[in-house]
Amino acid sequence: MSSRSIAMNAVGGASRRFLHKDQWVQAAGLLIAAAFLLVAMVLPLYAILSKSVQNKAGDFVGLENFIAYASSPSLFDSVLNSLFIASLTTVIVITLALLAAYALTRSCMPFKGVIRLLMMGPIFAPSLLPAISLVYLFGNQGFLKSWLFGESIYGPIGIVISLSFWCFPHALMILITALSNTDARLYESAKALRTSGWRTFFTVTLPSIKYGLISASFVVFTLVITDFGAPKVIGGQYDVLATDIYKQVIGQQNFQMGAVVSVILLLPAMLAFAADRWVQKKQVALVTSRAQPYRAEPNRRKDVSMLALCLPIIAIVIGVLGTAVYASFVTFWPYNLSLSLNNYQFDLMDGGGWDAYFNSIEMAFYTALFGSFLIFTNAYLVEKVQGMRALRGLVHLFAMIPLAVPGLVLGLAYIFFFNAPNNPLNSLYGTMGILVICTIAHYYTVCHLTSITALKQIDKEFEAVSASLKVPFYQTFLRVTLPLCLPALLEVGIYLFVNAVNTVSAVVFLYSANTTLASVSILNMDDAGDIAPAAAMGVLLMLTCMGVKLLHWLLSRQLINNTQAWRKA
Amino acid sequence: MSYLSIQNLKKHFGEFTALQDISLDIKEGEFVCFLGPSGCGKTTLLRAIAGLDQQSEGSIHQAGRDISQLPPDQRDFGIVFQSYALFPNLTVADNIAYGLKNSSDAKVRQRDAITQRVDELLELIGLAGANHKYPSQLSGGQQQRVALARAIATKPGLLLLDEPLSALDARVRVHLRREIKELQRTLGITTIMVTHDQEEALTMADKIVVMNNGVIEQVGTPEEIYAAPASAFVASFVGTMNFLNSFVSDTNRVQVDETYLSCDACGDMEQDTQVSVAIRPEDIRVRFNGDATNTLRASVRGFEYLGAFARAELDVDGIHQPIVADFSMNDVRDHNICCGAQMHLDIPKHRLHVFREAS
Amino acid sequence: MTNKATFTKLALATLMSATALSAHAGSELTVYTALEAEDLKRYAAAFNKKHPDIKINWVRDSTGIVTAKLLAEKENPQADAVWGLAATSLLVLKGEQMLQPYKPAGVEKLSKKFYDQDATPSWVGMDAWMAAVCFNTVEAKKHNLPKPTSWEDLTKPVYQGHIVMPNPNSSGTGFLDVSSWLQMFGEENGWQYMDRLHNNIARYTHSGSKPCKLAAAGEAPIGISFAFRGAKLKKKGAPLDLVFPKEGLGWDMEASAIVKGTDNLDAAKKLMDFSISEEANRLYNKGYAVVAMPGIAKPVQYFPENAAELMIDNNFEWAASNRTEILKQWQTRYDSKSDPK
Repeated sequence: MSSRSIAMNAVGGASRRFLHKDQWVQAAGLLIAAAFLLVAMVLPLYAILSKSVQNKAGDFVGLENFIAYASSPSLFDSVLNSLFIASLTTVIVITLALLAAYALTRSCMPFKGVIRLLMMGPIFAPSLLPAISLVYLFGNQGFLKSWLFGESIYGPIGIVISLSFWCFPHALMILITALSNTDARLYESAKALRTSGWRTFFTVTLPSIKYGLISASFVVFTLVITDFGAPKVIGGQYDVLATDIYKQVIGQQNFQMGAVVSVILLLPAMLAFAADRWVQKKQVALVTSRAQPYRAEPNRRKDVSMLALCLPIIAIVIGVLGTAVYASFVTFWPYNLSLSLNNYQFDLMDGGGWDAYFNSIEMAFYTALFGSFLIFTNAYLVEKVQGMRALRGLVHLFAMIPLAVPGLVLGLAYIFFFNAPNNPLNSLYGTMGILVICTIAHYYTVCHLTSITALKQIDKEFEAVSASLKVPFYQTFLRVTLPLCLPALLEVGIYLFVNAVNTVSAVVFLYSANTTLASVSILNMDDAGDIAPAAAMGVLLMLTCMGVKLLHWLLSRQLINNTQAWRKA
Repeated sequence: MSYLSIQNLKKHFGEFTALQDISLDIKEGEFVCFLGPSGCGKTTLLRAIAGLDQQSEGSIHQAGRDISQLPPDQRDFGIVFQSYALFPNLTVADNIAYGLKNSSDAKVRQRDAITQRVDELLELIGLAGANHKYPSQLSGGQQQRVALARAIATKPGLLLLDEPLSALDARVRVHLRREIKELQRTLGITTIMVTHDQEEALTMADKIVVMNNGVIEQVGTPEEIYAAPASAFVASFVGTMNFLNSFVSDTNRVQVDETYLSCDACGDMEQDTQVSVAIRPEDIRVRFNGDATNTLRASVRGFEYLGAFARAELDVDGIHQPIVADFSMNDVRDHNICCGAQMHLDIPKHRLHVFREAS
Repeated sequence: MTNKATFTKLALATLMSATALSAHAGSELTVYTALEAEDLKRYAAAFNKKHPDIKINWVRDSTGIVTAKLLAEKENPQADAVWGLAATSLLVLKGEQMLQPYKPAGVEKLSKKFYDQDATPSWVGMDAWMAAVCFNTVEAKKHNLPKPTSWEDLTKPVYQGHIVMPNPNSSGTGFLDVSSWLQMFGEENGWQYMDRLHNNIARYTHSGSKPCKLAAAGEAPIGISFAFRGAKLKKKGAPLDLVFPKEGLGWDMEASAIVKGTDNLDAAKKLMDFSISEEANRLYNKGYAVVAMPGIAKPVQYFPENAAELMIDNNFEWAASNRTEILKQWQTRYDSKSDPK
C-alpha cells in the first residue's frame, strides 16, 4: 500500500537514485571527471596556494603574507592597472569579435573560409610573434611609430594591443558557436514583422547569444588579468598583478608571495563562475529539434558592408603576422635589413631544433585527441545528467578554475604536486604525459564553455525520449549528441592543438631533457637576442598550426558531410 | 481494474509544492487529458508517471506493477513533447527505429522487421515514403506525427503526450487532434495528454482531469466537466461562464441583486448562503412560449458575430452584473437581435450552477 | 612539407621518445643549467671526451626559471647536478640545504673568491659575468648623446629618458647592479645615486638581457645590462659600444654544484672535477673574459683587458642576506611612482 512506499521513499531518499544502470554509469563518469580535475588542477593548486599562508620554512602564518603584500607600495597600482587593462581589452575584443562572428555566420559575404582562417590567425602563433611585430611596427624604430602620436608602445597601449590581438580568436570561437545555433524561425518572424536589421540584431540576435557573449567576456577578462607574457615583454614598467607574480616567482623565487598574488587572481574566476551560474539559470535551449538551422541569404548591401567591416580586422592580423614573417628573414633589425634564410636552419640553432619541434607536435596531438573527448564528455555529464546536482556543480566549478590560473603558477603547482616523493603519480613527472595533462588542464575552461554552449542548444528532452525508448543514455550521446556537437568538438580539438603547440608559461617548468618544446625554445632564442631565429621558429609553428587546421578542415568536411546532412537539408 | 493507479502522490520543489496528494485511476485504453493553467502541476504529474521527475511521496502502479521507484527506462511508456524532440541528425526512419534497435526482443531487432515496422508506422501517420528525409525537411505537423510514430513504435502500454499540439498553427492543430484521437482509438493504447487548451481536452479526451494549484479539481467525461463543473474554477476554466454574486433566499431560489431566480441546484443549501450562480452563455434563451422559469427583460449593450452564432453582452433589469449570452443565427434573425435591442430572456432553472463562495 | 611526412615523423618521434624514456639512467646525468645553449654542446663534447660513459641530459632555461624549478623540486630533486648557474642562486640552494658538498680535486687552483670557502665547498665557480652598459652609437648620434664612461655619467640630464635598465625585482642582473652600487658607493650614496639615475630611466625591464637587446635594436640608446650579451649582439652586427664604467662593475659568477640526493654521485663528482679543470676554464674563456682559474684567461673580443680589475669586491653573502630589504626599498622608491618621463 501507499504508506509502505512512502516509508520506502523516506528511507531510500538519495540511494534510490543510484539504483539503475544508466545512473550508475553517469555517476561513475562524473566521479572520474571530478577525479581528473581534482588531480590535474585542484590538488596541484592546493599544493602551491597553501604556500600563501606559510612562511618560507613551511609554517602556518595565517594572513601574514597577504598583509605584507597589501602593504607593498605597488599593489594598488597593480590592481587598478590590471582592472583597467582587462576591462578595456574586453570591450575592444568583444565588440570586434561579435562583429566578425556575426559577419561569418549571418551573412553571405565572399571568402568566408579564408577570412575565418585569417581571423583565427593570432591563436596559431606563439605569443612572442605579435610582441616582436609590435616593436617592429610601433617601437622607436618602427615603420608606424607616428601612428601612436608620440605615445610609447611600451606600456598600457602595447599591452592592450597585443592582448586584444591574442584574445580575439578566443572570443571569436565562443561567439561563432553561439551564433551558429540560433533558430532561423526567429529571424523569419522578425522579417515577417518587418523588423529593421538593427532591431532584429538587438531583439533577436543579442538575447539569443547572451550566454555566449557573457562567457566570452569573462574568458577574455580573465585571460587578460592572468597573462604575464604581454606585460612582461611589451608592458615596460606598467605593473599588473600578473607581472607581480613573475617578479615574486621568477625574479625572487618567493613562492609564498607568488601564491598570495595567485589567490587574488582567482577572484575574477570565482566571479565568472557565479555569473555563469546565474546566466545559466536564465538560458533556455534555443535549438529545439523543430528549430530551423539558420542559413544566411545573400543580400548584397549587407554582405558588402560585412566584408568591409571584416577587412580592417584582417588587415591588422595580416599586418602583425606578416611583420613577424618579415622579422624571421631580417638579418639584423633595424641596422641590416637584408633578407636571409639562415634563420630557418633550426638544427644549427639553440633550443633543441627539430627535436623540440616534433616534441611539440606530439604533445599537441595527444592534447587535442585526449583533451577534446575528455572535456566534451565531462561537459555533457555536467549539462545533461539529471540529478546529482552537487557533483555536477562541483565538476563545473573545477572546470572554471583553470582559466584564472596563470600558467607559471600552474607549472610550479605541478612540480609541487607531481614531484612530491609520496605522490603515487610522481613517475609521470618529467614525461610527455605530464605535459599533456598540464596543457589539457591549462586550457580546460574555454573548451568546457564551448562544449557547454553547444550542448545547451540541444533539446533537453532527448535524454527523456531515449529513456522512454529504453535506449541507454550513452547510446544517445554517441548517436545524437556527439554528432550534433561535432563542429564544436572539432573546434575544441583544434583549439587545444594550437594552444599546446604555442604554450610556454606552464610547461616551461615541466619539460625534461627528452621533452624540450619548440615554444620554449622560441622564448630562449629571443632571450639570447636571436630575434630572427625565434621569429622563424614562431612562423614555423604558426604555419604548422594553420596546416593542421587545413588538414583538420579537409578531413572533417567529409565527416561533417556524412553526419551533418541534416543541417543542409 | 485500473491500468494506471496513482496513490497520494506529492511532489515538492524546495519550498514549492507542485503536487499535493494526487490520487487517480486510469482505465486501460482510456484517453485522459490533464487540463489546467500553466503551473497547475499537470506536467509534473506526467513527468512523475514517466519517471523523469521522481515524486516526493506516493506510489504509481502500472498494469499491476509498482513503478514508483523505477527509472524511466524500466517503465513502459512512449512520450511525445511539445518540442517533438526529434533527433535532427537522424532521418525519419532512423528516428522511428531508434527504440526498435534496442528492443529486448530479437525478432523486433531484426533489420527487416524494423524496416517493415517503420514503413507500417509511416503509413499509419500518413507519411509513407518520408523514410529518408530529415526532420528539418518536414513541416511542424509532420514532425509531430513522426515523433508520435517513434513513441508508439515499440508498442508501449502507455502513451504520454506533453502539450503535443501547442507549437502548431491552428489549422494543423485541429487536423492533428482528430488524427491522434483516431490513432489512439485504433491502437487502443492508454494515453495521457497534458494540455492547457480546454477545446483540445474536450474534443479528444475520454476523461478529463482538471488540475489547479497542484490538486485535482475534477475528474470526468468531457460532458460532465462541461455540463456539471464541480467547482467555480472548473466552470471558469472550461468553456465560457457567467458568474453572478448572489445568496440563497429560500428553497430553490437565489437572489441576484434585486432579482430572484429559480434554481434547481441550490435545493439543499441553507438560506442566506453566499453563492456564485453560474450560467453558460448558450444556456440563456430568447423567451418563447412554454415552460419559461426565469423570465427577465434585457437590453443588448454589445454584439458580435462569431460565424455560426452571435454573442451578446446584456444589461438585465434588476441585475447589476453584466451577462453574456450566445444566440444562434436563427434566433438573431427571428428576434431581430442587435445592438440596443430590447428583449425578454429565459434562464432555465435546471441550467443554473451554484457554487459556494469561498469565505 | 607534406602532411604525410609530418605524420611519419610524428610516429617516429613518438617511438623515439618512448625508447628514450626506457633507457637506463645509471650512466646519465640530468644537469640543470642557465648557460647559453650554444655553449652546452661544446662543454658536453669536451666532458664526454674524458668520460664517454656519462651522458649529460641538459635542462636549460633562464636563471630565474631554473632556480625556481630547482627550489620547487626540493622535496624530490630531479637534477643530479648544476653546471652553469648564478652563484647567487646557488647560495639560495645552499641555504635550503639542497647542495651536496664536495671538494673537487685541485679546487685550490681557483681564485679564492671563485669557490665556496667552507671546508668542503658546496659550489665551485666557473667564470664571472659582469655588468656593462650597451651604448648604441647610431641612436646616440641621432640624439647627440656623448658616450658615457662612468656610472656617474649616466645621471647627467642629457641622458634623460634614454636609459633602460632591468628591474631588480624581476631580474638577477638588475639586483646585481643595485647591490654593486650600494657596495661601491655605500648605502646612503648608493640610494642617492639611484635617485638621480631614476630621473633618466625610460623604463625598467623584467629581464636582464633585455636592456642590451633594446639598445641593439635601437629601441633605447643606452641599456644597462651585462657584458656577455652585449658582446654577442655586437658580434651579430649591432652598432653597440660596450661601456665598462670606471667606478667598478658588479658581477656574479657562473658556478656548478652537486644536488643533494642524487643517485649518480660518482658521475656528478666527475662532472665537478671536470668543471674546475684547466681544460674547462679554457672553454669558459671563449665567451667570458674572467674565469675562475687565474692565469688562464686570454682577452676576449669587446671586453676590456683589465676586466678582472674592474670587478668590485663583491660580497655575495651580504647581498643575499640583505636582498629582501634592498628590493623593498627599491620598490618603495621607484616602482610605485608612475612613469618617470
